[in-house]
Amino acid sequence: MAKNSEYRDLFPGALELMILKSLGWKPMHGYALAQRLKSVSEDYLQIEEGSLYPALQRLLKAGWLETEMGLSARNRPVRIFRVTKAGKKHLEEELASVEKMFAGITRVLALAGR
Amino acid sequence: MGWLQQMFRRRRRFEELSESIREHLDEKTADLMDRGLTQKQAEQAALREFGNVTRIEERSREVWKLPLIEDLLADSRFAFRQLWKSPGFALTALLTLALGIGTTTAAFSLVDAVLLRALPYRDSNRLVEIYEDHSGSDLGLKYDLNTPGGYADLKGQGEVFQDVAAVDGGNQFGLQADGGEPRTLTEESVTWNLFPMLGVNPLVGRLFREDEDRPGHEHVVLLSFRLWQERFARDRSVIGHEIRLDNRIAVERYTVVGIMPPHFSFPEKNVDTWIPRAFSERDYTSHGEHYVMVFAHLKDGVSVSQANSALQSLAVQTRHLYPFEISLHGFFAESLQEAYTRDARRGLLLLMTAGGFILLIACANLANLLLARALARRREIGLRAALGAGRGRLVAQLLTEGALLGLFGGALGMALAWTSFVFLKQFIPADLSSTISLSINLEVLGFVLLISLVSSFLFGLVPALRLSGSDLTTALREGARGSSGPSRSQLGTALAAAEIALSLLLLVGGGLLLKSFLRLRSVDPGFRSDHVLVMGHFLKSPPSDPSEFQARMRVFDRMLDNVRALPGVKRAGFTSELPLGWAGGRGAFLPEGAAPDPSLYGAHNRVVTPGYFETIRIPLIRGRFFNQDDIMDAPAVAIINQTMARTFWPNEDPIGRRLKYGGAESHSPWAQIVGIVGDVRQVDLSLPPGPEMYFPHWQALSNYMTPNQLVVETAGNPMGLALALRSAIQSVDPEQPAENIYPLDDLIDTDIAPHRLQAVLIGSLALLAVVIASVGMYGLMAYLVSQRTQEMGIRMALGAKRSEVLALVFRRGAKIALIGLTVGICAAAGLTGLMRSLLFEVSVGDPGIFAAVIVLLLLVSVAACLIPARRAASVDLIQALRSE
Repeated sequence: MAKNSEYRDLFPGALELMILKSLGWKPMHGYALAQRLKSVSEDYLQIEEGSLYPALQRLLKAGWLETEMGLSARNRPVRIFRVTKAGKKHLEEELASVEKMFAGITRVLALAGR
Repeated sequence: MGWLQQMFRRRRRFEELSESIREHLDEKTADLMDRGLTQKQAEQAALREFGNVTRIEERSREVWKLPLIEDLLADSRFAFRQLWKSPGFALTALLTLALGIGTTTAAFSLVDAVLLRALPYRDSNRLVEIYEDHSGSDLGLKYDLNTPGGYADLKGQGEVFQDVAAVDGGNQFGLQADGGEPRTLTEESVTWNLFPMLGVNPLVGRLFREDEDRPGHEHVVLLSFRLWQERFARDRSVIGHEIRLDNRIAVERYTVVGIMPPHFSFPEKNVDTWIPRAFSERDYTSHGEHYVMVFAHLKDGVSVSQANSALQSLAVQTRHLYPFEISLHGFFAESLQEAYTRDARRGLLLLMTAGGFILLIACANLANLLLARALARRREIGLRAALGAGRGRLVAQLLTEGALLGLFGGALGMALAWTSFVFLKQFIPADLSSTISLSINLEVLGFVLLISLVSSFLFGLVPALRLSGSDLTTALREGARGSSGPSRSQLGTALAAAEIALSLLLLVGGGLLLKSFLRLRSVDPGFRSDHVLVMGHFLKSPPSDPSEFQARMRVFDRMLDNVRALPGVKRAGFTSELPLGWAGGRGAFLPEGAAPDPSLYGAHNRVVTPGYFETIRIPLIRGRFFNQDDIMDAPAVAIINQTMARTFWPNEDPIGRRLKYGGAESHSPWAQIVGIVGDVRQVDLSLPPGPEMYFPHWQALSNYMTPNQLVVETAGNPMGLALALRSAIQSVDPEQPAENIYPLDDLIDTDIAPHRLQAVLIGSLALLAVVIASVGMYGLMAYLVSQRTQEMGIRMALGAKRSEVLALVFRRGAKIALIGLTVGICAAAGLTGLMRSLLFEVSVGDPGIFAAVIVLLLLVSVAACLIPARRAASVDLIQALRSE
């Protein structure tokens, strides 16, 4: 059912992966997460801020994230997303397979044209 | 409780989600304001970069939904709104569907009750009834009863039958006054092993014991629950008591040993008592008289056809041992279920087929309606596709609409079926009517659900695929024109033609049955039933003791004298058997001078009093009727019918010839034929008359028939005499039950009622089909015309005359009708053969019926085109072109 048009250029699950990785570095609220993704990718990835939310809900539903109340940079009370133990485990597994995939792609791209 | 918790949590999730988004926007706005934007600018920019908040929230929520069910609910709500918005369409669709599903369901519940449900006996699928097949001869029946000797032989077939039981059935006994009115009882004499074989246990008391079906030990009786309730007020102490029963030979005492369970009745309905049938050793060697029903329990692993081949060799032996059984073609076993439903089966399958046809017509109609509607909705659907609805979702949406219609239609149809049960009950074979009833049970519910869904799928899928297959952006662009492609109109034509073809089949079927019924009604039964009153079930048959026999005959004569003396009575007489009533049994006789090797001499055997022929006006062809002089000591006489005269004395005058009742071995006197009377229909109106011989009551000492039916010709309304008749009879014999009084007209009514029922039912289904099909045809033509308004306008602008436009529409209608008729006629040629056995003197290819049906359907098609054609011809030129 998921409409993937918002990150059509990425592979399925890529957005979730990036979210998990960022939140694994530090629990954040939605806006901060959007800022973080934007700055890290140096605006290379055009991610509509809103599209984070369906992805966040999917991760919550899978049990890889949880929410808690915290404070924003402006000291306002906000909902913070934190990666759960299961989420960490999932992230590691996914990263391993993604790296393998990238290695594969890189190899093909490097050699296939010769 | 899980889902409640889930719902609750989900609500909190959704609130949190909204909160998170609000916080996100607040933070962002604050950041932007730090960069120098005004609050308003900052808010706008924040929203812009965030995206469509409502939609994102919606999509985020979707993550938590159970996709299938919630989509289905949403689709259903939408479909419901859609239907609500066009009540005309919804009503037409629902009604059509309800009629289709209703008829099919009603037919199915009948089939389920009669054909599919197992009989309520143990191992009922291993129970068979065994008949003698005499169809080898002109006079014989395929389903003839067995002889006591034949029963004994069948009992010896131990390798195929586990057990064999016999019933000497359908006797009328009298329950004698023990405080109450004398009452006629339906009694069955059965061998002791019948009930154990059926696996039936008594409600109170015990069944018959093994030693009780021997002569001298048979004075025990089992009562039906109904009799126990009505006569003995469910008093358990009746067990062990004696009751007085008039067994037609004498009034004797029988000890009540048990009460059968409620609703149990075997082998016919409304049996009141069962007593043991005590065959004597002599009976067991008798192969002359056919009055025994035989039931058997097949051995494990033995099939009905295996049993039948074993029976075949038995028949060869029997023919060899008893040469006069020359007409015995064979014995054959038939499963009990089939035996009970044999006559009903064809009618039921016909009804089921008709119901199915109505449903198919309804589906075709709905498919057409939905197709037209869906095309009118192309823009809406295009819009939804443009907004991101996937093809699957669109098809699902359309199918949901179909399913919604199907389920509502199914519910309505079931209600319709339920209300029809009162009427349909008449289709249950009489012998089963006490054991089964029509009801909406699980099978029927399942069936309704199944056909509702299958049919909604049928009519929902066509438009769904047509629509989603087309390029939706063109749909949007084409806008108001909503043009119909060629495949749309081809599909519509095919569907409408199919409706016509199916209607033709139903009409032909209904027409054949109707004609058959009319034929049957116009059959001359050979007697007159008007102004005749019948009083049935006179008891006290003549015993073989001559002095008692005389006493009984005098009772009959005194009764007749009393009755004839009543004012308003013109004539009266007794007979042993009324016409249209004989259900089995045939008397043997021997013509004088016939070959000493007796073979095939059998005829319906009647004992009557003088006055009988005159009362029901059976015409005298030659000779004389019986009169007061034909008494015991007078020369023995007989009267025969025309068929008997023609069959056995083909080239000579039978008057003056002699015959002996009972065949060569009998002690009956040689009776001289003194008269020939007209044929009457003995069994039912559809069967040609067989040979029939009549003997006067005073000379019937050795005849097993009793003149126990009184017929009275009255001057006025026959039923007006009922009370006077009763007292005239009971003044002679106060113990004579006098309940069974009815006009003779009822007999003919009863005989043709099933045929009328069938004709009326199939006929009305056929008319229903025509109505639905014509609505479908009208809908299609109206749609096609509305789609082609511009084309018509252009044609007329280019100089086409109105008549040409008119012809255009009619040509289209005619094409549909002709295709439908051709297909229908071809199908009819193949299918109506199935109806042959239901018809009476009507050929399945009856040209009159076909012609009438074709004309009717053409007229209906023309009528269906009329309004659309006139609308097409009156197209306002300017209007038509401007709508471009």
